[in-house]
Amino acid sequence: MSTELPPQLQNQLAQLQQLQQQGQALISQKSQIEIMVKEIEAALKELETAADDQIIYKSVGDILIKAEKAKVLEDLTEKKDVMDLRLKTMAKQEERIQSRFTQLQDQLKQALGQAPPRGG
Amino acid sequence: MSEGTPEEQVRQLVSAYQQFQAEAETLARQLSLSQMTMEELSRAVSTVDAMEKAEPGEEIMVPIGSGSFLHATLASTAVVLNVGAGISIEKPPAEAKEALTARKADVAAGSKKIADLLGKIEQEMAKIESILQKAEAARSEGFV
Repeated sequence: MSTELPPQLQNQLAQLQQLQQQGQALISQKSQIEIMVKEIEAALKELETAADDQIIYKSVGDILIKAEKAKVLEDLTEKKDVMDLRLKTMAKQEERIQSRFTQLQDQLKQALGQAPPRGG
Repeated sequence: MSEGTPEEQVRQLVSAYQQFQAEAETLARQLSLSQMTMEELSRAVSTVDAMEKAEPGEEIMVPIGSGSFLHATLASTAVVLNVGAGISIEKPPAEAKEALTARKADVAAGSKKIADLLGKIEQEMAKIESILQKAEAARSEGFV
Protein backbone atom coordinates (compact mmCIF):
# COMPACT_ATOMS: atom_id res chain seq x y z
CA MET A 1 0.00 0.00 0.00
CA SER A 2 2.83 2.40 0.88
CA THR A 3 4.09 2.26 -2.73
CA GLU A 4 0.88 4.01 -3.73
CA LEU A 5 1.65 6.99 -1.50
CA PRO A 6 3.23 10.14 -2.97
CA PRO A 7 7.03 10.29 -2.31
CA GLN A 8 6.65 13.22 0.12
CA LEU A 9 4.19 11.26 2.24
CA GLN A 10 6.41 8.18 2.10
CA ASN A 11 9.28 10.29 3.34
CA GLN A 12 7.18 11.71 6.18
CA LEU A 13 6.01 8.23 7.11
CA ALA A 14 9.62 7.00 7.23
CA GLN A 15 10.53 9.97 9.43
CA LEU A 16 7.62 9.15 11.72
CA GLN A 17 8.77 5.53 12.06
CA GLN A 18 12.34 6.69 12.72
CA LEU A 19 11.12 9.08 15.43
CA GLN A 20 9.10 6.27 16.99
CA GLN A 21 12.21 4.04 17.11
CA GLN A 22 14.28 6.88 18.58
CA GLY A 23 11.60 7.50 21.21
CA GLN A 24 11.45 3.82 22.16
CA ALA A 25 15.26 3.58 22.44
CA LEU A 26 15.32 6.72 24.59
CA ILE A 27 12.58 5.41 26.90
CA SER A 28 14.46 2.13 27.32
CA GLN A 29 17.76 3.94 28.13
CA LYS A 30 15.94 6.29 30.51
CA SER A 31 14.32 3.43 32.40
CA GLN A 32 17.71 1.67 32.74
CA ILE A 33 19.24 4.83 34.23
CA GLU A 34 16.23 5.29 36.51
CA ILE A 35 16.77 1.75 37.85
CA MET A 36 20.47 2.54 38.45
CA VAL A 37 19.57 5.78 40.26
CA LYS A 38 17.12 3.87 42.48
CA GLU A 39 19.85 1.33 43.26
CA ILE A 40 22.30 4.11 44.15
CA GLU A 41 19.67 5.77 46.34
CA ALA A 42 19.08 2.50 48.20
CA ALA A 43 22.84 2.00 48.68
CA LEU A 44 23.21 5.61 49.91
CA LYS A 45 20.38 5.09 52.39
CA GLU A 46 22.09 1.95 53.75
CA LEU A 47 25.44 3.73 53.97
CA GLU A 48 24.01 6.77 55.72
CA THR A 49 22.58 4.60 58.49
CA ALA A 50 25.84 2.63 58.82
CA ALA A 51 28.35 3.55 61.54
CA ASP A 52 31.38 5.55 60.40
CA ASP A 53 33.75 2.69 61.29
CA GLN A 54 31.63 0.01 59.57
CA ILE A 55 33.62 -2.05 57.11
CA ILE A 56 32.55 -1.31 53.55
CA TYR A 57 33.61 -2.95 50.30
CA LYS A 58 33.40 -1.78 46.73
CA SER A 59 33.12 -4.36 43.97
CA VAL A 60 35.76 -4.24 41.25
CA GLY A 61 34.91 -6.91 38.73
CA ASP A 62 34.59 -10.15 40.67
CA ILE A 63 36.49 -9.03 43.74
CA LEU A 64 35.59 -6.78 46.67
CA ILE A 65 37.98 -4.08 47.86
CA LYS A 66 37.78 -2.41 51.25
CA ALA A 67 36.71 1.23 51.00
CA GLU A 68 36.14 4.20 53.30
CA LYS A 69 32.56 5.15 54.01
CA ALA A 70 33.11 8.87 53.31
CA LYS A 71 34.80 8.14 49.97
CA VAL A 72 32.09 5.68 48.91
CA LEU A 73 29.38 8.20 49.86
CA GLU A 74 31.14 10.89 47.82
CA ASP A 75 31.57 8.61 44.79
CA LEU A 76 27.97 7.41 44.84
CA THR A 77 26.58 10.93 45.28
CA GLU A 78 28.66 12.12 42.34
CA LYS A 79 27.52 9.17 40.22
CA LYS A 80 23.89 9.91 41.13
CA ASP A 81 24.27 13.61 40.23
CA VAL A 82 25.68 12.68 36.82
CA MET A 83 22.79 10.27 36.22
CA ASP A 84 20.20 12.82 37.38
CA LEU A 85 21.63 15.28 34.88
CA ARG A 86 21.51 12.67 32.11
CA LEU A 87 17.87 11.94 33.01
CA LYS A 88 17.01 15.65 32.73
CA THR A 89 18.68 15.84 29.31
CA MET A 90 16.87 12.70 28.20
CA ALA A 91 13.52 14.08 29.40
CA LYS A 92 14.08 17.17 27.22
CA GLN A 93 15.07 14.96 24.27
CA GLU A 94 11.95 12.86 24.82
CA GLU A 95 9.81 15.99 24.86
CA ARG A 96 11.37 17.17 21.58
CA ILE A 97 10.83 13.77 19.93
CA GLN A 98 7.25 13.62 21.20
CA SER A 99 6.48 17.10 19.91
CA ARG A 100 8.05 16.42 16.48
CA PHE A 101 6.18 13.10 16.34
CA THR A 102 2.82 14.75 17.04
CA GLN A 103 3.55 17.49 14.49
CA LEU A 104 4.51 14.97 11.81
CA GLN A 105 1.56 12.73 12.66
CA ASP A 106 -0.86 15.66 12.29
CA GLN A 107 0.71 16.65 8.96
CA LEU A 108 0.42 13.07 7.72
CA LYS A 109 -3.18 12.73 8.85
CA GLN A 110 -4.06 15.95 7.08
CA ALA A 111 -2.19 14.95 3.93
CA LEU A 112 -3.72 11.47 3.90
CA GLY A 113 -7.17 12.99 4.35
CA GLN A 114 -6.59 15.24 1.32
CA ALA A 115 -4.57 12.87 -0.88
CA PRO A 116 -6.58 11.42 -3.77
CA PRO A 117 -6.28 7.62 -3.99
CA ARG A 118 -3.73 6.55 -6.60
CA GLY A 119 -3.71 3.54 -8.85
CA GLY A 120 -7.47 3.08 -9.01
CA MET B 1 -16.50 -7.03 20.83
CA SER B 2 -20.13 -6.02 20.36
CA GLU B 3 -19.51 -4.35 16.98
CA GLY B 4 -18.55 -5.73 13.57
CA THR B 5 -19.28 -8.90 11.66
CA PRO B 6 -18.85 -12.29 13.45
CA GLU B 7 -15.56 -12.75 11.54
CA GLU B 8 -14.29 -9.37 12.77
CA GLN B 9 -15.34 -10.24 16.32
CA VAL B 10 -13.42 -13.52 16.11
CA ARG B 11 -10.36 -11.70 14.75
CA GLN B 12 -10.54 -9.19 17.62
CA LEU B 13 -10.82 -12.02 20.15
CA VAL B 14 -7.87 -13.90 18.65
CA SER B 15 -5.79 -10.71 18.71
CA ALA B 16 -6.75 -10.03 22.37
CA TYR B 17 -5.90 -13.67 23.20
CA GLN B 18 -2.45 -13.33 21.60
CA GLN B 19 -1.79 -10.14 23.57
CA PHE B 20 -2.82 -11.83 26.82
CA GLN B 21 -0.64 -14.81 25.93
CA ALA B 22 2.44 -12.61 25.37
CA GLU B 23 1.77 -10.79 28.64
CA ALA B 24 1.28 -14.10 30.48
CA GLU B 25 4.60 -15.43 29.12
CA THR B 26 6.44 -12.29 30.35
CA LEU B 27 4.78 -12.55 33.77
CA ALA B 28 5.60 -16.28 34.01
CA ARG B 29 9.26 -15.49 33.32
CA GLN B 30 9.25 -12.74 35.97
CA LEU B 31 7.59 -15.12 38.43
CA SER B 32 10.18 -17.79 37.81
CA LEU B 33 13.00 -15.24 38.33
CA SER B 34 11.38 -14.04 41.59
CA GLN B 35 11.12 -17.63 42.80
CA MET B 36 14.79 -18.23 42.00
CA THR B 37 15.72 -15.06 43.92
CA MET B 38 13.65 -16.24 46.89
CA GLU B 39 15.38 -19.63 46.87
CA GLU B 40 18.76 -17.89 46.74
CA LEU B 41 17.78 -15.66 49.66
CA SER B 42 16.57 -18.69 51.63
CA ARG B 43 19.95 -20.37 51.08
CA ALA B 44 21.74 -17.20 52.24
CA VAL B 45 19.57 -16.99 55.37
CA SER B 46 20.27 -20.68 56.18
CA THR B 47 24.03 -20.09 55.78
CA VAL B 48 23.93 -16.98 57.98
CA ASP B 49 21.93 -19.00 60.53
CA ALA B 50 24.79 -21.50 60.65
CA MET B 51 27.34 -18.66 60.89
CA GLU B 52 25.63 -17.39 64.04
CA LYS B 53 26.60 -20.64 65.76
CA ALA B 54 30.10 -20.82 64.25
CA GLU B 55 33.35 -19.52 65.79
CA PRO B 56 36.28 -17.89 63.98
CA GLY B 57 39.03 -20.46 63.42
CA GLU B 58 36.58 -23.27 62.69
CA GLU B 59 37.34 -25.62 59.79
CA ILE B 60 34.87 -25.19 56.96
CA MET B 61 34.46 -26.49 53.42
CA VAL B 62 33.95 -23.94 50.66
CA PRO B 63 31.98 -25.04 47.59
CA ILE B 64 33.75 -24.47 44.26
CA GLY B 65 30.98 -25.93 42.07
CA SER B 66 30.07 -29.39 40.77
CA GLY B 67 29.72 -30.70 44.31
CA SER B 68 33.44 -30.07 44.97
CA PHE B 69 34.88 -28.33 48.04
CA LEU B 70 38.08 -26.75 49.34
CA HIS B 71 39.26 -26.82 52.96
CA ALA B 72 39.23 -23.40 54.64
CA THR B 73 39.40 -21.83 58.08
CA LEU B 74 36.73 -19.36 59.11
CA ALA B 75 38.42 -15.97 59.61
CA SER B 76 35.28 -14.15 60.78
CA THR B 77 31.58 -14.83 61.17
CA ALA B 78 30.70 -11.38 59.80
CA VAL B 79 28.58 -11.34 56.65
CA VAL B 80 29.37 -9.03 53.73
CA LEU B 81 26.02 -7.94 52.38
CA ASN B 82 25.52 -6.43 48.93
CA VAL B 83 23.48 -3.21 49.21
CA GLY B 84 23.45 -2.45 45.47
CA ALA B 85 25.41 -0.10 43.18
CA GLY B 86 28.53 -2.26 43.65
CA ILE B 87 28.70 -1.59 47.41
CA SER B 88 28.75 -4.21 50.17
CA ILE B 89 28.60 -3.65 53.93
CA GLU B 90 29.98 -6.00 56.56
CA LYS B 91 27.37 -6.87 59.15
CA PRO B 92 27.11 -9.18 62.16
CA PRO B 93 25.20 -12.39 61.28
CA ALA B 94 22.03 -11.33 63.16
CA GLU B 95 21.79 -8.00 61.28
CA ALA B 96 22.59 -9.65 57.97
CA LYS B 97 19.89 -12.26 58.58
CA GLU B 98 17.37 -9.52 59.34
CA ALA B 99 18.24 -7.67 56.12
CA LEU B 100 18.09 -10.84 54.01
CA THR B 101 14.77 -11.87 55.56
CA ALA B 102 13.34 -8.39 54.82
CA ARG B 103 14.54 -8.69 51.20
CA LYS B 104 12.91 -12.11 50.93
CA ALA B 105 9.62 -10.67 52.21
CA ASP B 106 9.80 -7.89 49.58
CA VAL B 107 10.45 -10.42 46.81
CA ALA B 108 7.61 -12.63 48.10
CA ALA B 109 5.21 -9.65 48.03
CA GLY B 110 6.30 -8.89 44.45
CA SER B 111 5.86 -12.54 43.47
CA LYS B 112 2.35 -12.56 44.90
CA LYS B 113 1.39 -9.50 42.86
CA ILE B 114 2.78 -11.11 39.69
CA ALA B 115 1.00 -14.41 40.43
CA ASP B 116 -2.32 -12.59 41.04
CA LEU B 117 -2.00 -10.69 37.77
CA LEU B 118 -1.07 -13.88 35.93
CA GLY B 119 -4.14 -15.60 37.41
CA LYS B 120 -6.41 -12.78 36.17
CA ILE B 121 -4.89 -12.91 32.68
CA GLU B 122 -5.32 -16.70 32.57
CA GLN B 123 -8.98 -16.25 33.52
CA GLU B 124 -9.46 -13.77 30.67
CA MET B 125 -7.75 -16.18 28.28
CA ALA B 126 -10.02 -19.00 29.42
CA LYS B 127 -13.07 -16.77 28.80
CA ILE B 128 -11.89 -15.96 25.27
CA GLU B 129 -11.13 -19.65 24.60
CA SER B 130 -14.66 -20.57 25.67
CA ILE B 131 -16.23 -17.88 23.42
CA LEU B 132 -14.07 -18.98 20.47
CA GLN B 133 -14.98 -22.64 21.01
CA LYS B 134 -18.69 -21.74 21.04
CA ALA B 135 -18.24 -19.64 17.88
CA GLU B 136 -16.42 -22.52 16.20
CA ALA B 137 -19.16 -24.99 17.24
CA ALA B 138 -21.85 -22.62 15.89
CA ARG B 139 -19.90 -22.25 12.63
CA SER B 140 -19.54 -26.03 12.27
CA GLU B 141 -23.28 -26.55 12.88
CA GLY B 142 -24.03 -23.93 10.24
CA PHE B 143 -22.10 -25.96 7.67
CA VAL B 144 -23.98 -29.21 8.41
